[in-house]
Amino acid sequence: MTCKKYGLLMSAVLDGEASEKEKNKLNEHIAHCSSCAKEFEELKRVKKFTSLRIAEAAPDFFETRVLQRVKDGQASRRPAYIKKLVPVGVALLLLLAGVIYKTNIFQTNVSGNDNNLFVNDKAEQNFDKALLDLYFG
Amino acid sequence: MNTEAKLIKLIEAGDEQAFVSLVRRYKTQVYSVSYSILGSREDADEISQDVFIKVHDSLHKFNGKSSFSTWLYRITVNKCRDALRKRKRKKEISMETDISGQEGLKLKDVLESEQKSADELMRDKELQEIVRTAIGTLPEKYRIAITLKEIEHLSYAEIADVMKVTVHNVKVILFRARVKLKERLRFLYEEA
Repeated sequence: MTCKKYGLLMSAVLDGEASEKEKNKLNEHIAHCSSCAKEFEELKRVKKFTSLRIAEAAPDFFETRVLQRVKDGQASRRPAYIKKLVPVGVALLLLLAGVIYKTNIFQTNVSGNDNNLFVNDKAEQNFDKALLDLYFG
Repeated sequence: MNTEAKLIKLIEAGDEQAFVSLVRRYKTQVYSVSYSILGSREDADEISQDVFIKVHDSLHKFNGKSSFSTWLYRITVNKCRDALRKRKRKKEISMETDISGQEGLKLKDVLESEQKSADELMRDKELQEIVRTAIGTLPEKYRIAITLKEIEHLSYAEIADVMKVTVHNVKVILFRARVKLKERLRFLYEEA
């Protein structure tokens, strides 16, 4: 085994990933190879420094922000057919509102005239007048 | 069924609270790894959020072949790699990068400094920052392997699983990363 290969073994020993047999092999080698012994000491120190590093706490309100982004994402990922149906629905609602307004369907028929149940002439005339005023001033 | 599996089932059924619990359980791991690889708290915050959104959206793809945390580390590492690629146009962390915003204190100054002893540096958090910054100057795969080993204490087999390389490759990557760090941190251990 070359000194270069012992380098790999040193790293594995430091990480607790070497077998007892491999550890013994390394120990035997560094007992008579001063450059590898020096290298092993240096790697031990590097390991000591890098293992000083600790976990970092995530920023405040992390979960809340993630959840909000998930919700935002879900909203923007609605199926295409739903997106297409939105303007159709709005148009239908407007049409329905226009019909209701025009016919005064919810207005109480105070005259008691059954023929005038759905159409209030006076209201219709007022609506037409308002519309003409709106367009022609 | 363990807690993790229960949470996954609940999330798949649309339970928001279960998702929040999962995020709470793993946020430190994901954020620590992201911060170590990306070297910026702001980027780590954004990427960590992206990781959990990916988890939420792809939970049905988790097949349980590897552990949930390995799957999560893999997503984290991949997101960090993507972020590093996008950042290519910007200036990568370099030997000229400021350490913790300390005015005028550059990494190369610290690494070459012969004024401060290791004991002095140990007294505050500066040592950790120096090591973190030195790791930040390593090539991407070395940085990822060192982070998974030293912060998350994963085994070689787990690192291999996350990075999709062989266990032997992990051994080689970690050794080379340490050789590079040894040179960059020499002034510390020569005085220690």
